[in-house]
Amino acid sequence: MVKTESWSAWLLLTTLAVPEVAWGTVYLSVAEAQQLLFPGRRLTPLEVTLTDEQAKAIQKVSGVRVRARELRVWRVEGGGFFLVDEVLGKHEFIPYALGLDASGKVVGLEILEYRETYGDEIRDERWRRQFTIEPPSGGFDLGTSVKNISGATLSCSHVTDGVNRILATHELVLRRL
Amino acid sequence: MSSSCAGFSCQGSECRRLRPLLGTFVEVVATGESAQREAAVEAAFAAVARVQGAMSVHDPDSDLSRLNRDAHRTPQRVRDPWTLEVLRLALAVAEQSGGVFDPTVGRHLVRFGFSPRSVGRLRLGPATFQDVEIVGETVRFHRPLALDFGGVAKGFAVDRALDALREHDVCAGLVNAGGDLACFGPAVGVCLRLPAAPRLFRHRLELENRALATSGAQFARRRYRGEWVSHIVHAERGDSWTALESVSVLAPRCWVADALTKVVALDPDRAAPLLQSYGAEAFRIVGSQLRPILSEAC
Repeated sequence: MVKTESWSAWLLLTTLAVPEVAWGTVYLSVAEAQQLLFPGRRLTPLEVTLTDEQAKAIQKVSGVRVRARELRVWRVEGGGFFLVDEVLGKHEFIPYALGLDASGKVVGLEILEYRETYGDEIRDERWRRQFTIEPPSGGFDLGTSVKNISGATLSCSHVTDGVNRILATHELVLRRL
Repeated sequence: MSSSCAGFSCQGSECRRLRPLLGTFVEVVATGESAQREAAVEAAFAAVARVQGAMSVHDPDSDLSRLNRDAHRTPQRVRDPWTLEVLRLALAVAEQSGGVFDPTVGRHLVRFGFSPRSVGRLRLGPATFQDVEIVGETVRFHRPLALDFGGVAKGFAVDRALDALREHDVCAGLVNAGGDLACFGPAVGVCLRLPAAPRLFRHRLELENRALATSGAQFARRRYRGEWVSHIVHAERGDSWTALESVSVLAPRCWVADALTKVVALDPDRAAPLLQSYGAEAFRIVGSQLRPILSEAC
């Protein structure tokens, strides 16, 4: 049953309390991921900003758009590269780390964080009216306790697209540095 | 064995990792002493990667793709014994569900655009699980068909990964492959997406030494000839389940939970006796309401 007053009160609470309701898990810091993918090796940060030409070439080879021109990349002592990249979707933010060996082969991938947001949907009046959703009772604190999720399956295709883009970036730019 | 694993206490801290596998995100959680934890997590991911390598329809070199290409010509050996094991489980559920669950559903998935063709230009005519024959260690198809393990592989991978965690002496573990999950150790809280608003959560349940799988088409529907289709397809009728609701099954093993969600979604009446015989329960979420699906025993 819809209890409109308590429903709007709950909404008001969430929209006032936090501008965008979000939850997430931090798995690894960049430093921890570096240690995991290249234990004991020294990493040196590189300053690499892709030119228009390079971005176009990478897009052509990988079929994936280049959104960020500045790479977050480290050279690994003894050969190889460590990169941090991210998937920035409408509702998800997924930074991840990728390790490449000297030949450009992937030696590891670790997701650093996974975050989901849904602020926009909550604010949209028409969207809200579709659902006769009762306000949550009894302290289900979305911010801190959302984990071990079951429900519709999310695709990881954006991450695999990102990896393909990075492999093309290595082939065309990084291995020539 | 660590003496701190007696009863429900579990010493040590939690290691939680996420990697893209099986087309989705796979999370592995292990609680225990530090050295075993890291090794356990790696072994668990290796098990999931092994299932992907053997059974992915997107990998032209997987056992599955090779069977789809050649098993209608001559009997084929598989490289990974797990492939045969999953095939046996899938065929058993197909038999028990009267074909509601059927791993030869692949021809519809190819038609809808969810899967690539492995079988070349050959037309994939009507086929059922009865056209698949296991002879000793080989697999033979009676006609060209497309096997697909999407209905059971994630659950199977979760079971194998959890076994790997157990072998490494951690006192609590959980593996979650895109919402198909299982755990051992003290009870864990599991959060369920609202199918009509999959970024929202309303229901939470406690899971202890059990598996849970949920089927819902919300993130995976596509358009085919003007209609919505999903990957949950009735092999014989060729139509798919696209309701904005979700179906969840709790079972002792994750492969069972995974396979049975499809039967519950496509034909709930057929599912009731199956749920009972596998020691499983089911519920659906419609709108914001969670409704148990009564098994025959009730």
